[in-house]
Amino acid sequence: MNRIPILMDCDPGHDDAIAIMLALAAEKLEVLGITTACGNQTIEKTTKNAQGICELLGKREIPIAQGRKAPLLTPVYTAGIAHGDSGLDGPQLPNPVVPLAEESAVEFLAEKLMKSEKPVVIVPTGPLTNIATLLLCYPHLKEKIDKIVLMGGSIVGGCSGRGASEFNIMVDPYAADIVYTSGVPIVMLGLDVTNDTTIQFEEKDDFRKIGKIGTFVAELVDFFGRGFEMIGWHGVPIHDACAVAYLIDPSLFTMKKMSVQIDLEGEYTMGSTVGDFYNVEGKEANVLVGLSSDRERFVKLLLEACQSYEKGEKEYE
Amino acid sequence: MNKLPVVIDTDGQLDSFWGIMLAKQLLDVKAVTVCKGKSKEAEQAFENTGGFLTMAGLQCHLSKGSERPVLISKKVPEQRRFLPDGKCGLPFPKGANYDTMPAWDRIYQEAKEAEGELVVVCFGPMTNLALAIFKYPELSSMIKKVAFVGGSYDFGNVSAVVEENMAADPEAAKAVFQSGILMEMYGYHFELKSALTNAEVGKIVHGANGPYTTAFAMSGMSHRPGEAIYYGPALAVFGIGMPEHVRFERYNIFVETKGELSRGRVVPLNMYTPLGYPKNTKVAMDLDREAYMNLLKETLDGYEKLE
Repeated sequence: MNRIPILMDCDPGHDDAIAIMLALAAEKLEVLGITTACGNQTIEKTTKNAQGICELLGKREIPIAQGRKAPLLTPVYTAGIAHGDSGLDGPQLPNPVVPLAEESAVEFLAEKLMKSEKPVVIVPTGPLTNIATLLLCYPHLKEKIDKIVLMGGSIVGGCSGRGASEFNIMVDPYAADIVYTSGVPIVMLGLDVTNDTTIQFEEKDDFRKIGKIGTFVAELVDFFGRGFEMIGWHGVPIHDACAVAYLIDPSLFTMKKMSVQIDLEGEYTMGSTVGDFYNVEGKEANVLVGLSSDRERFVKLLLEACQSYEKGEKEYE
Repeated sequence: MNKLPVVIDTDGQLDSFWGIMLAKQLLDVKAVTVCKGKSKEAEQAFENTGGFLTMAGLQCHLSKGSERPVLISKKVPEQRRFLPDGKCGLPFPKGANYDTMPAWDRIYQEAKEAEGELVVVCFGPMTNLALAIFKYPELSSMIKKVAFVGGSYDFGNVSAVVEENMAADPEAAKAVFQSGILMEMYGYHFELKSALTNAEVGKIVHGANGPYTTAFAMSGMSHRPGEAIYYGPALAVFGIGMPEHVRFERYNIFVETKGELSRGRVVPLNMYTPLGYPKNTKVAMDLDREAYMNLLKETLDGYEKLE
């Protein structure tokens, strides 16, 4: 089978963990490596979490490289309130056995792109610090990037950062601006779609029943769900897994292409993704934006991915 | 039923005419105040509004207000207007006389007299109300609510996310939002939602061809040529007078005044809003179309019979 080579850049993070689980189970995807960003927690913690996740999933062969300690121009801003002190509170992770790659995340990404025969899809599910640096320092490698399929931003669907912004973009808005103006095709799964792409609380048992990996997912949802339960939601948005799910089955989502710009000046809107839905400004459409999803099929995809680990084989697609 | 006491503030654009006609039926209009707003010149806004009142047969206090936005150091984006004169060249009768009392004093005066029951309805930018709040800080606790045409829950019409009334005077909007008065927003998203198709307009007009019908047909502004028509001020009056036919949602809203992309954007913090944050705005989201169309039709029929 012709697999899609991808590079994941993430800040695990509960929903990042589920995204990694999904990607490493997908027959359709070939994960060339994982790089880490600081976002949901500090870079040391997100990196340790990425290692622990791969260990738990039994995927020691996936190389992991650590990213920049801080956003490009702004101070470190983490989301311990949602993800806990470790960045992945809740489930017990094994200690990492495999050492990190020696290169930095940016060098690692560049090397993987250079070596890949096929254009690679980059899947960022955290702040875009590493990806922006990659685009600035290795501009000639743009042609090796097929597209960037990211979780981040929000056109209408609310905010999870300060003011009107979504967390991943807000943490490093300058990096986001560099990425969004890069000319590389961008697919954006933002809160507009991810907030509705939930695991409902009553569905957690379906995961637990599967076994070790299903239980891992259920425990992630247990912890990550606390805040959502408090504000009256019926389920937990699995934001980051949407980006991976899009690559596995784009038909899960409805999309619209439009111009999206990053606000770098607003008092309340700094870091927001300004989408021109009606094309009022007549600018070139640079982003394919996710608008809605088939939640039930998404959850089915996650369940099947968990099951594939139990079988110890990759029948799942 | 007791009609709500209101002051209407407008910038004299043709769509306000229909807002005024409906307001005469549904509300107790104590005064109309006028600002330059989106008009090319303040004088045009004053003249047009006077004519609207005369033609609508509405008798109430009429006050001139601000001839500029709060700040003149900032660039205002190009506005959509009812060209060439804010009223599509329609021949409105000579206007009613203006009081000597300026808009901000009039709003304050009416708020005092209504003893906490006054609703201020802004068809255009909120300059006059902001000036009233600047001059009388206590005003914010004397007004029942501010209902306004403008802003948007999602997308804009002068730029990707900015609506024209907010773009025309973002600082005024910010001052009013910050004052703590309950806000009721009839935004661009709602105008699009309630847009009437040409066929629906035909149903309302129903073969009539008098001056009111002409004004009605021309006062709808299309989003883009060939698309449906909407009537912002009329929608706001419908929502204030017949709230049972409108569905509202409550949000905490900020007004962005900084930055090229978002200056004038109203920002509804609808997710993860920290508990205890005041949801300061009722946002009109959907309406009973039939009730809205019936009101327009009845009002139009009533006026045409007078001719």
